[in-house]
Amino acid sequence: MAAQIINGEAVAKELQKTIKDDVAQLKSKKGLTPGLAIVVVNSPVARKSIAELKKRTCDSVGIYCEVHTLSAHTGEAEVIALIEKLNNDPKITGINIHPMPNHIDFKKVLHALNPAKDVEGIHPMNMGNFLIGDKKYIPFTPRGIMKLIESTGVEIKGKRAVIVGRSHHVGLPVGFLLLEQHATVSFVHSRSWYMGDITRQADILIVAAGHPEMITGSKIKPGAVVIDVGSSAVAGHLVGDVEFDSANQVAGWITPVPGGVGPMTVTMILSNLMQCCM
Amino acid sequence: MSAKLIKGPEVAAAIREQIAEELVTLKEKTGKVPGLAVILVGEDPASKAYVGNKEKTSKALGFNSVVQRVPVETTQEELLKMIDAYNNDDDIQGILVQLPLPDHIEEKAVIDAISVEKDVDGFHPINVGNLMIGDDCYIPCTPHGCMKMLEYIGFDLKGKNAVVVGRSNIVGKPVALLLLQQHASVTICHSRTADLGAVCREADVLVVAVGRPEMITGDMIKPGAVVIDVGINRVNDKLVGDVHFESAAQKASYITPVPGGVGPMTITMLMLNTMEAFKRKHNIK
Repeated sequence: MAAQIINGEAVAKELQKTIKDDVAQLKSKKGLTPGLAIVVVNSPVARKSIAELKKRTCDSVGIYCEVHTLSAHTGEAEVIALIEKLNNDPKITGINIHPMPNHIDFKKVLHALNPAKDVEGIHPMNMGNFLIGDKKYIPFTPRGIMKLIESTGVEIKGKRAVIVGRSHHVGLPVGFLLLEQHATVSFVHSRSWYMGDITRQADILIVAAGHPEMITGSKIKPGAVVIDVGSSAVAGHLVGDVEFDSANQVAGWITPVPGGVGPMTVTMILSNLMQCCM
Repeated sequence: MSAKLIKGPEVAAAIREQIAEELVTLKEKTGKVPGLAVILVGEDPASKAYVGNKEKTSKALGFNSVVQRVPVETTQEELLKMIDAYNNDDDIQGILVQLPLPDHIEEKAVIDAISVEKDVDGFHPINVGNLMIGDDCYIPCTPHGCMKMLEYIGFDLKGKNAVVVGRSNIVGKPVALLLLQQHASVTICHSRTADLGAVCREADVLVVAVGRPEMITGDMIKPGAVVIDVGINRVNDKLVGDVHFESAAQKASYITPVPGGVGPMTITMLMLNTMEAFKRKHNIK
């Protein structure tokens, strides 16, 4: 029996409707228009098309958006100066900094960002407040994952949740979000001795390790909710960290790659932007 | 009984000896000693005792110890002013405001006001965030103490199963992060966990920090596991941990007693953090 598919596109579309309504409310009641600034330094990692997609999505829901594309040779000081200018720009509610080329120290850029405009929820101040239960700024991918789980209607309280991967922008925060919803949460990773024994206990399995198809059906508990955050290009097409065909036979719910977590990205940035307005 | 004891006073003494040794070198290099300022608001007997112990340890190590005891009526604004003064005081590298605070003072506003560089308790959100990111930070004292106890017995966490019972901000969550950084697989349990015993029995290392007397019994422990009991509960005028010692000691290979386990580590970790702050201030690795 095949698992039910968790359709990221559909969940994202629904969320965009809510965002559009919230934007309209904000305009009519408070005269405010949320504004997103995207900072991109041109490089192979910059993913310009994503900036364009974000801009289009902003337009469609009524959010003001400006994309700052800087040349590949832009120095760190110049990027920081731009961030500081945007920090003080009243039109801008949130700032989204795209991955930077190697000659720029991303940490320095991030530390220059006003935490109140951190739409990604990755500034250390926001990370810390998030961990201790102040929920205003939450890393956007983990928030998107929670929305996907929510869409299945499966209850989280008291369940075993297992996270494969311990990155600070996905694995750890999604684990702490599930913990807050009263799941028993396990983190496993490349050094774990008993990974399969642990993943097989998961009612909810989140895989965010960046290793193509490392989780096969034999590592999954029958009926589990499986969220695959991985996305790697293998032989010309995208695959996740979960081997879909075998996992699909065992899981109760599963996100496809592409079409699962990916389509949530842009929408969750906008959803976080709305949080910055509150 | 088969388990060996991990004795807090013994581990703490070994660390204090290292601190004292390093302090000699630091004094030679800088002509100064680390300064720790502790603020105590009100007359809570337990808090008074903690602050007294911090002062004693700080002085015994040769630190510059400043303790400010202020009345319970002290306003939040007055407290924030004191913190600000210490933030700008070059002779002070560590600031600690003893918790809990009286109801009219907002704890978060106070913690957030302490300079991140001087937050030796490790409670400031930026320190907590950096702990999560794996960046430079001050590790909160109790979780740090737990890790030092594992280090003392030479326990290699890599690949092992660690289970943390309790999800508090000051112990459960940070200790889970630290265990992960040492490459253990980590499971966090709590009051809503279904079949707690089964999860605990998978633990090569079990850290218990829930504040419920003797809730973890020997039948919930994997033979040979290392058990760290962070709980301190008063039951019939006796101190007991969150672990039922007699039955747990039959199963574990190592166990921390209560009292005399994690408790005595905390102040020593505070001193270690204060020395670390001093070294950062003077750019000494």
